[in-house]
Amino acid sequence: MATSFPIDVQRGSTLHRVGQVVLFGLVALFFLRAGLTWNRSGLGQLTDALLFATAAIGLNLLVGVTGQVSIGHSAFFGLGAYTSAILVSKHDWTPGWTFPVVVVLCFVVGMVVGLPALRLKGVYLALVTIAFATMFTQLLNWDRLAWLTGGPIGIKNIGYLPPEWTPFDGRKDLAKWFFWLTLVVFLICAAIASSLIRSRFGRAMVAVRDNETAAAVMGVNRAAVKTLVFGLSASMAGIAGSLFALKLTLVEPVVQFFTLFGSIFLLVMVVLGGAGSTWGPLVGAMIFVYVRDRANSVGEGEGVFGLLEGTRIGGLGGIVFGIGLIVLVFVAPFGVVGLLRKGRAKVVRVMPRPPAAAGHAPPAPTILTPASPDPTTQQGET
Amino acid sequence: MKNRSSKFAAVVAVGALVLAACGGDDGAATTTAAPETTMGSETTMAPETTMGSETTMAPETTAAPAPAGWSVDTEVCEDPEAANAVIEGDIKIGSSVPLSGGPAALFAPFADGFQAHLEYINATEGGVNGQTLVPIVKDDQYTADITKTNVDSLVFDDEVALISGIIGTPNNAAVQADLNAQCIPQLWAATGAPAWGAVNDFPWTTGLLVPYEVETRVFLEYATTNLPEVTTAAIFFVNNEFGQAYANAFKEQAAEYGIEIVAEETIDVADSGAPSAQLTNIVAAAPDIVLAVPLGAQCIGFMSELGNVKAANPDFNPAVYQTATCANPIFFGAPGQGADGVLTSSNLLDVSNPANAEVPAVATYLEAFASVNPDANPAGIAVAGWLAAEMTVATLKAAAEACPDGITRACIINAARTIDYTPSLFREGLSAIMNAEDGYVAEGTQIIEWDFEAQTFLDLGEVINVEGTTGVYTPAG
Repeated sequence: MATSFPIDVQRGSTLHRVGQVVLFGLVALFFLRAGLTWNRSGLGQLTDALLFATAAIGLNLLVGVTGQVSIGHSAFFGLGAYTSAILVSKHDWTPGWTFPVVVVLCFVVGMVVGLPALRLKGVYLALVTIAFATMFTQLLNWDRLAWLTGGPIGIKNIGYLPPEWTPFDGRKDLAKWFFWLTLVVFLICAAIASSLIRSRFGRAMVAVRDNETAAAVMGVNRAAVKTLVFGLSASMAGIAGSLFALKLTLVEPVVQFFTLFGSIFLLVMVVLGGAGSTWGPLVGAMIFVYVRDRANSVGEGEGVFGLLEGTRIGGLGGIVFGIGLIVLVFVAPFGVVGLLRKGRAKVVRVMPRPPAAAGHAPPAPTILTPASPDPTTQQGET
Repeated sequence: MKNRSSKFAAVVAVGALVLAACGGDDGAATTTAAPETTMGSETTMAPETTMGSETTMAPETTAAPAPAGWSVDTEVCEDPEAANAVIEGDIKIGSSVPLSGGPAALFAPFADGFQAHLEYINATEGGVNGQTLVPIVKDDQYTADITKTNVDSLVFDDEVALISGIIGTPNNAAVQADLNAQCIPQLWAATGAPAWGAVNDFPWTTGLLVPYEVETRVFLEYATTNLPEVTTAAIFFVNNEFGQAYANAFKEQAAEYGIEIVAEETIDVADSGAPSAQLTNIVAAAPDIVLAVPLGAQCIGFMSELGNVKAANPDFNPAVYQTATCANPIFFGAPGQGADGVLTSSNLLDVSNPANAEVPAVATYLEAFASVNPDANPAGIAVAGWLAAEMTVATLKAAAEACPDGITRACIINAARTIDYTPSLFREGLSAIMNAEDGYVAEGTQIIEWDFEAQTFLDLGEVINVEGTTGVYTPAG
């Protein structure tokens, strides 16, 4: 008897768990292999992808899950970078100790910046966050603050060599050290985001996104949800910025990721990967870094690839990538992860656990989007 | 249950991070440099004055044969063997410059000039030492983090023998520590920041352009010698590291000449509008001289507005100097009357001046450049690209001579740090010289003035050469 597709797999069943373990195992194997065998160039790019993904996880919580627009995350990214740079260069801090400070500072600033979100929505909130991002670069350039920020010159010669207790051999293993450090930070942020989304608070976030009025009626504290998510999201962008600065060894106001461009890049990563999905930020960041680095190589490919590689003035590369992004948004509004899920749904369909099968389990949570039983997914994503 | 396990995982991971934070670290370098270049103020501007006052080093000798008594210590390299290994086959030369993004229109022709010279040497001389020169140029959009990615890729994927001609101060700074630790020559950084003369701290990095502080001093020297009375000055500068470096050097030096700064006006990097408010303030301050440090297309905007305020204020006629980065006939030709009489400087021949067309080096350059990119304008930054490549070739030739058994990276940097060469497009009387006491290769320039009628630059006075006076750079801390 031929198997008919799609195969229905019940969420939480052994088969489902095996599938999850295999998927995680493959991803873990990829990172393990990269960490052990890739050269410094490849590791550097993967580290970039991971730290951008960390910032994108935060932005995804805010934009994808809670439905609040922010085009100001470059400022949190920059704030984290500058906080580490200042503490390391001017106060001789061990770089690692700056991380908790960055997390707390960005959390507080994020909550404050999130306050307008209590009254504003959509394009108005976007404008407030743009203003914040713009103001941030102006502050970095402000000569009255140059004693702290270094003004237009910024701060140079910062860095983070592997501590002695690690198995890494000083500067020689700098790329490996940064890769593993960034991977750990990424995993922490991913774990926090993932468990948060599945928690009661996560369902409140989704409720605020899908229907704020209904959420309020059901007793969700909108103010708390919005400001806390803003703070958390800012913390993740901040810690990513801190790693970015230590890897780059310098901070300057002109660094693209500290300007409005950075906010847009992060948004592109979230949308490219799939807003609202758990894997989206990582996939988006990896595609972003891959495309960016291909685009920087000029004329290295042959034939058609020779034309595409490089975004040089008069070249086709930039135009093709731009069109590609537009097409992707049309054919895959939920990003690459959404596209993959669509493909998977043709083969395997993950079914929700029926309440009866749960035995003595508590009643299933209120599902706000009937088409997507998992609160982490959006309508049409399954 | 699942929730609990993920929370546990998060707690474990946070613990790991805190542990990472606790670890000792000696990488937190705090050498945020306060430039301390050893330039004597009392320098007489005669050629060949040697002023290096803080020559503190006594470099240790190493295996690689070194000309003129300086050689790099390869024992401190990550891989000393690689630094002393003979480079076999083609010599891959990596670079990273802005080819796309905002400032690309200004900087992109650099890559054409760079490639043109290397191809010219391959075609006419069969490369260097019988080895073909292979340029690999990547685009960094003038963004330091992309420069770092590019250079990692050039070093570990393309396995280049050396890096040459990276544009931009932050861009070069972002890769300087890595390249010095890896002992990969980072030659001819296309910026005039003082940091490239750090012979002791970063011996593997060499700069290409006339240091900004030399340029401002040459202008001050010219102004105080040739103008009737100079007591006040105004500065107009782009609010970034580049503009700040000029402004700081100028302010420091102006004090030595007893000149008071009466106005300081800035413009944002991304501001492409006319600097009307800034020039109105400068007019109100009535300075005797003005130093203008715009970036890229802002050079045109500044001169256009200068023309407007001069027309509106007939009494306002200070000597205005725009930095050498604007010394491009395309920029000076655009604003019309406003550019007339504006001063700048250049250590290179003006390849767009018909009077120079007969000079063999200029003819060679124009022909070679046209073969690479016939549509691009050969004047301006393209010449700097050619110069960077020519200096690279001269270094490789010197290295081949000093190391008859084969060129190594150590040979290359030894040759660069002790170079004594006259680039074909340098003005007469100028040479590219470095040694243990002299960390800067270009320390002389010619003040030039734009002639609106003739649509060309005119030389003012003689070439001013302060070769050897800038010494070496010592980062603070």
